[in-house]
Amino acid sequence: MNSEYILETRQLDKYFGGLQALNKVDLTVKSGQLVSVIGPNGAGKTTLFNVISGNFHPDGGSVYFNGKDISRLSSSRLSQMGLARSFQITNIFDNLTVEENLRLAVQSRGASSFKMLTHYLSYSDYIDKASEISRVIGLEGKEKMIAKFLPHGDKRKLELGLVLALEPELLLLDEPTSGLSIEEIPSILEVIQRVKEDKNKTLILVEHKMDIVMKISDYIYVLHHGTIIAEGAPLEISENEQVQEAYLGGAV
Amino acid sequence: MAMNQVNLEEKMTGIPAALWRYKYGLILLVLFLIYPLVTPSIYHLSLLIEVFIFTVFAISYNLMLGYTGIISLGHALFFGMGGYVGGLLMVEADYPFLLIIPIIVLIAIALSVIIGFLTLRVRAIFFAMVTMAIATFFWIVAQRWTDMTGGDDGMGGIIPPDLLLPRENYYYFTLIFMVLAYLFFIRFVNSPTGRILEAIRENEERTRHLGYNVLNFKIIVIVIAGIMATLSGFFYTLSMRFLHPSYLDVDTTLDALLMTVIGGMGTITGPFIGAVVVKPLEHVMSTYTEHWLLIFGIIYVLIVLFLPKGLVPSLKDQADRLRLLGRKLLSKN
Repeated sequence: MNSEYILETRQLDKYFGGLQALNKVDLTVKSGQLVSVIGPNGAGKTTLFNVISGNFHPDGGSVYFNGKDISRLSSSRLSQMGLARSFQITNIFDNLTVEENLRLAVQSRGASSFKMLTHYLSYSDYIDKASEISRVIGLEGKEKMIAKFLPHGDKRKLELGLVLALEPELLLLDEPTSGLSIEEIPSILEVIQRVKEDKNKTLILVEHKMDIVMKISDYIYVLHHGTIIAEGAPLEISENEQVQEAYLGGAV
Repeated sequence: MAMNQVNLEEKMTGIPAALWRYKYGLILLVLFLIYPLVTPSIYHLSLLIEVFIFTVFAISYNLMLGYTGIISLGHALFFGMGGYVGGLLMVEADYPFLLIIPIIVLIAIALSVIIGFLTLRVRAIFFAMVTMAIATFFWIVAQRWTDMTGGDDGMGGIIPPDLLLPRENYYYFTLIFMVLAYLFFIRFVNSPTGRILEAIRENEERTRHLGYNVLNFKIIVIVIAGIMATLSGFFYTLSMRFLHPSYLDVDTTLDALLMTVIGGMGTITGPFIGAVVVKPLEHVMSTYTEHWLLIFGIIYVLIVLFLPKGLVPSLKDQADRLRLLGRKLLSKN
């Protein structure tokens, strides 16, 4: 293992019945980078995230996080180790307030989760931290709203906020802009940019919107039918003919 | 404005705030405290004892179903275990009351940890099925092992310690039991751990991704629920001075389920409301008809259909709606 990589997958295989969703995927991510994974629908991007984040275990190959084999670890363990993910389909606590959503994420980083007889509000630093996060993601003033009543764009922001609140080293963001209107995208991008500027944070992004990917990525992997067909800097990728054929339909 | 009020109340701490928040509970407590001085009716005292004990049993079920989203179809397992193990230790082995309590609590812990580790890591339905299977197994043992348990005839002679022998004393004892259970319940669900339980109920996958080991928290809940149910069963047996296999059967689990749903799943007041409604109704209805369970089935369906949050929260919603309407009308004039 090369310790210069915060994340490395080696020959990763994943099958669903007869379908091979991932085929010998080798992927390396350097610390402090923003790496994007692109590919047409059904290419295996979300499966890749599910395997890396511990939702599924790989059928072959391994995943290394900071040099440690994490292929068999649970998602809760990985989250504690500093690897957190967001979901393409919004996955928040619908019936809790925005503040409580974020507070729960903050609490998981504290040491009070087994305190059974103290009031949860007496840990005021968690609440402060939660409201700080809601400022960062632009949900200020909506802290007391029940999450399911938020408009879609705000739910996507909260989804991202839950990951930020965990203060992970490595963030896996699964289409953070999916379903957002054009006006809503810049504010999410701004948050992602700000995370990127923090040298201690590494991001892996699955995204469909090519203009965004080309603009903010340091490095890009192209996944097609579970196989990596190309990798490189944004410029190389946009000029790669194979990629254009598979994914961009022959033209950019 | 209303939001600020809630905020303020939530943030108030200390004893005065707590007293104010639970004012209705406290009034009720005072009434219960003076009740035996007012009425000499043993029947009413016995009924209230039953309500107190079943409130705790319902709290334990509410913690699992209402707060964490764990369904048990054999919660009677703990209730009956407390009754049978406690009762038999008392009658056959002559163990003192104060020694029996830690013994049955330890058995409850061991039992729930084992069941939890075996079933909760797989699909939710396994826990429901396995608890039901074990409860049924114990029910059969209680039926068939007639030398020990008296089988379907039951077993009498389980007498509380001298101090608790008078009905009034036992009444106060179970009242204290319920109050302590409630104090713990309120603190627990408002603790950091309690909040995680609600997170699990709301979205288990996300809870896991936030770094919480869901299995550990589920086991904590079923251990606590197991202890509460076990003690309820033992105290119920002492109140009845009688053991019967029915303590282990499906009806007893259904009692807890009914009380939780009728009172309101995942609410503080729910278990008490549920017990207050269900227990006396059972007594009244069973004097009129053998088919009272059928009537309960209908009530259950009606509540699930029309008052899905349970009696109190749904009525509160209606009251809030009326209040809002009233305010609107007033402001127009």
